Parts: sequence; C-alpha cells; structure tokens
Amino acid sequence: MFEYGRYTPYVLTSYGIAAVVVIGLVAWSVMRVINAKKKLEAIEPTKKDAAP
Amino acid sequence: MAVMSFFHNPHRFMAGSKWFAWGFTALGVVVILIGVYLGLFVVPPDAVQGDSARIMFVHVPAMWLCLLVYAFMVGASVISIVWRHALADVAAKSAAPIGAGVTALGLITGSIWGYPTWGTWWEWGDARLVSVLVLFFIYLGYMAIWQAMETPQKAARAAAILCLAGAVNLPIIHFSVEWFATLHQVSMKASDEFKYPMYVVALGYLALFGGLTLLNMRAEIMNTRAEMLAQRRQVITG
Repeated sequence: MFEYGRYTPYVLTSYGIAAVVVIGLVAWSVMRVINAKKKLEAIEPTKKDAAP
Repeated sequence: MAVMSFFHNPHRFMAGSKWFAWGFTALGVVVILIGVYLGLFVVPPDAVQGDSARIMFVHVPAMWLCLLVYAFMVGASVISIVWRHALADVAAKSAAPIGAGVTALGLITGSIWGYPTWGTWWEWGDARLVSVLVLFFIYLGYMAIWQAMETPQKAARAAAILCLAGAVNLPIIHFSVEWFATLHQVSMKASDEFKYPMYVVALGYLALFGGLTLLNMRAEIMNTRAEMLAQRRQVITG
C-alpha cells in the first residue's frame, strides 16, 4: 500500500511529521479554547450569583 | 473598513466567529486528508524525481502558508499601529504559533526531500533555506516578546514593530532562488495532475489556518475577560 521504492522512508516520514504538526496545532488550539472557557465560567458572574 | 469597525467590539466578534472557527477547522482537516490521499495514492510518480516528489504535496503548501501567515500578521500589525484596532493584535498573536508550526513543517519536510535529491539534509550557503530559517526565528521572537513584556499594551506595540521589521525577509525568501544561484532550484513547472493535490492540500492548510486562528483569538479574548473580571473582583473584595 505504501510502496514508494527507495523513497518510502522519506515519503512516510514527511507525511508523518505533517500529521503530527497538524494534529498538534488542532489539539493545542482546542485545549486553549476549552481551558479559557473553563477559566471564564469559573469567574464570570452567573444569573444565579446575580439573583437576590 | 466597515468590517473592521464592525469587529472593533470583541462581543460582536465572539458572537459571529464561533461557527466559522469550528467549521473552518473541520473543513481544513477534511480537505487536507483528501489532498494527502490524492498525493499518496492517486498521482503517479514524477518522471524526473520519482516518488520523492510526493513530499512536495505537504512541503510546498506549508511554505506558501508560512509566507501567507506572516503577511497576515504584517497586515494585522499595520492595522494595530495605525488604527489601534482592538482585535488586530489578538489576530496577529493568535496566528504566530500556527505560522511557526507550518514553517517548521516546511523546513523539516524540505530537509527530508533534500537528502535523497541533493545528497544533504541542510546547506548553510543556500539563501532559500537560511532565509526560511530566519523567518522561523522571527516567529519565535515574536511569540517571546508577548511573554517577556510587562504589560500586554507594551508587548503588542513591540511585537507589531518586530513583525513589520521582519517583513523585509518575505521578498528575500521569495526571490532568493532568483537573486542567488545556490542549491535550491527555482519554482518548477509541474503538470496539472501534479499541481492538483498540491492545491487541494494548500486549500486545506488555508482553511485550517483560518479556523485555528479564530479559535485562538476566541481563547485569547476569553482569557483577557477572565483576567479582567478577576482583577475587578479583587478590587471589590479588597
């Protein structure tokens, strides 16, 4: 399936590194959003807090 | 201009960007996977370079994107300095790690392609290789400035100035293969069947960049708001 002659290790390594970079950037960005949302929710006054 | 003033309010940006952020991210991943499939399984080996040319499908779009991201940051920095737009600094700051990531990807995959083709992983005398490495360090320096300065306002100003100064490197990277006759060849004229997966991956990278930049901008705005509320609470409670 992944047979590219003598270039096989070079081709697969390149695509593997591309996958790591893309997955890494997506995971890092999603984690940033989740953490920021949690941080904001923990501190933002909710309707419950505002109620008398 | 109308769009700029519309998004001057972070609340409007937060309300309007949520689905674009997740949508572009998902679209980017799907389109990249289609491009990778085409590049690995559909396109025949190149007549001259053989199967090593398949590396170009992830390398070349990464190099295009690292220049595009930097150009985007330069535009955002100009808007920040001239119009003091509230989101311009946030946009440039959010784009920088993505730019650094794709520049690293371009450098590494270029090096992997270079070894079987040129017989060397790296050539310090090559203008294209060294100028892209300089771009990578500019990205790192830009991110370091945001961490190093005392206040976000000072950091934003210093980072914008560094970004504008670093813009001189963009034409150097682009024209380096024409100005200096070193190892890196000038852009090749590829056949249409070879260009096709490259453009698909490039579109995927572009959509992903848009989505991830919006996600990071949203995270940045939420963090700033949380810090502001924490400070306000501290003042109230004494």
